[in-house]
Amino acid sequence: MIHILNIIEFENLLNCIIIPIYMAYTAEISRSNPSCFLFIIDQSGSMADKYVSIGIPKAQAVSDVINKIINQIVIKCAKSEGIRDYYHIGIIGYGSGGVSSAFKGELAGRDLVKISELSEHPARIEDRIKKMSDGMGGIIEAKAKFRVWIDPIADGGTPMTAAFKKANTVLSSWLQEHPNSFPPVVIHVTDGETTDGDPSIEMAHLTNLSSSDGNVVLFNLHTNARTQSQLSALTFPGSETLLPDQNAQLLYNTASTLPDFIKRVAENEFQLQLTSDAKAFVMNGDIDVIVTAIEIGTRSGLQLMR
Amino acid sequence: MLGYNCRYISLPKRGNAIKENEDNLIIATDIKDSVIKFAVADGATESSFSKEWSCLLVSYFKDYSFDKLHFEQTLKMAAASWQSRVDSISLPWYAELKAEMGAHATFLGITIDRENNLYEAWSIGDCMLFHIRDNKLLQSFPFTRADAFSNTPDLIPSKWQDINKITQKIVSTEGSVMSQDHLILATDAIAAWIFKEIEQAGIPWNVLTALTDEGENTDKFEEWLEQERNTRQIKNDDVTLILINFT
Repeated sequence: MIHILNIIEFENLLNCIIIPIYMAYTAEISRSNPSCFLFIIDQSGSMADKYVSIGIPKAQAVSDVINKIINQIVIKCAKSEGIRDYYHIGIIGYGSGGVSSAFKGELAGRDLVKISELSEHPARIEDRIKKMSDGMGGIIEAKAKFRVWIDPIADGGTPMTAAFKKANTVLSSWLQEHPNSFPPVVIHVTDGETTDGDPSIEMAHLTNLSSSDGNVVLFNLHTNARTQSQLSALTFPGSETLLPDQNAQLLYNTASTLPDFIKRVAENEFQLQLTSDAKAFVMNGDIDVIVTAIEIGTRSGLQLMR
Repeated sequence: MLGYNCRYISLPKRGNAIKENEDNLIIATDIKDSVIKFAVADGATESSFSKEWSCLLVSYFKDYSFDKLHFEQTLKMAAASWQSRVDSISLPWYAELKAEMGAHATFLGITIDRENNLYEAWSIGDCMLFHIRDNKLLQSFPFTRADAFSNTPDLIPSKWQDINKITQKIVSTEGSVMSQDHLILATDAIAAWIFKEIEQAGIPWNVLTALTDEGENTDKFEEWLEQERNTRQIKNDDVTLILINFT
């Protein structure tokens, strides 16, 4: 039997045919349409504990990682004629002094800073020893300049809710100015539990912020000083995974589900096998897990630069 | 001897200045009466001094051999030239670190012997050659399908120590041409569009010929390109084309 469509059915059918399927996270990252990375760093007293695996305080290791990542982003955005401002970067620290920008030196107090400004104004330049290949299968040590934008801080409580409130203010205003941007990626590193009430509403607010290209992506990275053999770490788990406690549940629930563009990097470049509902969440991660997660979060966006 | 005329165009990606176009092309018609050479190269956005590198590659193609036997030697000369240009400039710390990683580019070059109506082409990466006869695609090189394009094509590095890794990846093809044939050399974004048109039974070389003229005026082409980019038919990337018509 042939069913003849009435006018409403016909219109619905037409709409189905002609409305294009919009793909999120495909906006071009360019100088006229930059994107944004925002780091939110726990600077509470417990961050002074040393990672058993490397013998370095968590606060020091995490700030080293972030300084290194900023250095990489600056170099990635460098062209022969200078820096192209593909990104704006912010670092919010929370601890004994409450919540504030973690930038030091000339950039102190600034919320979001263009890459070109970061390249010009590291807080200082340190001489460090770098291990590198000697080209014959061996390792040699060489002096290298290490640029520092943030310092390790470990003191006081864990005002996580206030930190996310601040992040919401910063990103809401940035998104108003950049409504068609590739959505900001937020990377939150913590080793503990909030001391200023439930942050989940502020976290949910953050992941509901969006540009026309998709929602803000939130990574919740929980780190632990003990090694993975002493504690079982969870890296980008899906919904089937059992979580150890309420804090893990909170960080898991509020983290974004990994968008495909990030999942591709995790799978192709870091050989991780992830479920389709994998979350941007790590629990009890040793420093190497945290480094990998931060690299995945930042590298995926950098591949979309034009 | 086979006659020919050619048109060419090279434009930066939308939002970039003309001087930021990292594609380069060469049309070398003064080598020998019967031998002409054409090449296109696409400098990678991710590296710095890519424009200089793609320029050196097409220039060296004019004067040196890119065949498997000589490719390494030619590249090493080009790489030395790139390094000395970079070394002659005083750079800020980030640009210096970036330049240490070298520049990268894809490349396609063709040599045409008009006496014997033969051509030979060499390629690394996703710059394309299309050979059209009687309004049909006779050969495409190095890819035969639109879905062969990826975000990670083979690239020619400018760093001397990385060159060994790529020299075996150069591929070549040969063909014969006759009067009324067309050859198109294209960098990846416009090459992908040509493939898509062919797969949808279009005749892209006619569209491109109508949009370009033998002079310097690029208005018609630019207007069309903007429209295709806006509707995402062509990726926003540098676009370079050489159209050769045999008479």
